Amino acid sequence: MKRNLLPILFGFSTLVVTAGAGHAQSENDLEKVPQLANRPRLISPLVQAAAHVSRDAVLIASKGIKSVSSPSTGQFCIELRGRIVRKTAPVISVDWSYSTGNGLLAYWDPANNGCPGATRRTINVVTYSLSGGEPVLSNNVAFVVAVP
Amino acid sequence: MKRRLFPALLGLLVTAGAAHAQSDSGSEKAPQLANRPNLIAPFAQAVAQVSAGGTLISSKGVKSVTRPSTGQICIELQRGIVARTVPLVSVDWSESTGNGLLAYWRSTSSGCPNATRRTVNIVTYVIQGGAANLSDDVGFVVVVP
Repeated sequence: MKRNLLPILFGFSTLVVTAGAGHAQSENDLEKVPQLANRPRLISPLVQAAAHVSRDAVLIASKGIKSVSSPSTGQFCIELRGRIVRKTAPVISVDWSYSTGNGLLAYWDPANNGCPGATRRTINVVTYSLSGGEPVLSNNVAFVVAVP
Repeated sequence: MKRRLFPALLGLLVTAGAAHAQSDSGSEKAPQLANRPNLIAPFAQAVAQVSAGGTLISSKGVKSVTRPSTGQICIELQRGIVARTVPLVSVDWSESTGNGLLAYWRSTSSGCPNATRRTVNIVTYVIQGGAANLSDDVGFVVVVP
């Protein structure tokens, strides 16, 4: 029984290593993407809040942001800190360097459909990438968002 | 000799004019660029309106714009601009050619040789045959908040 398991376990570990290597090589500008041990604070004097978010929902840098989560594929929920005046329109742009691939799209969903338990201080960003010419929900897209 | 040259030159000018007039998606409203106006944007540190091909149409807080390779545009900000922020990019359809237009910020500035802290690298693509290809057909605006 143990002999039978060994090749399976070896195969599984190889799969994990391969998947890990694939992830490590996935960002478009991987060789220049900095390590994120110390998240820098953005200095954006003319916006209330700003966030630089990786494709796997890591907050790379921010101002006025409490947290970021990705409850499902292509859905990002950004929680603003308490004092941000929310009655405004967030602006979003794709960051190519931290993304994977090219046909990348990022939108604001003001209805917060993708964020369970959303509050007045939640910003729902939806990301797509082109697959076979069609946009499909994707976690390949890094982006920046600013709250003016 | 002069009689032969005149119609040829006239034809060349008309052809060039027609080609230019058809180059931008909203070409009939694309302004002439003899005098580049300064933008008035009180709630942005810097703003640039850049045409397809990398010409700076109007700006605030921008020193220069270059296009080192296809689809890679490098915007140099003036001194005094706080660069530790997140530039926001939008496609300008009028200053572009065609549709399926994409413009992204490249946060590592890897597409800009000799990039500094004040370099904003924009990458532009056009969707053709279901795939996004690097392209110089995309005009855009960028805001540095």
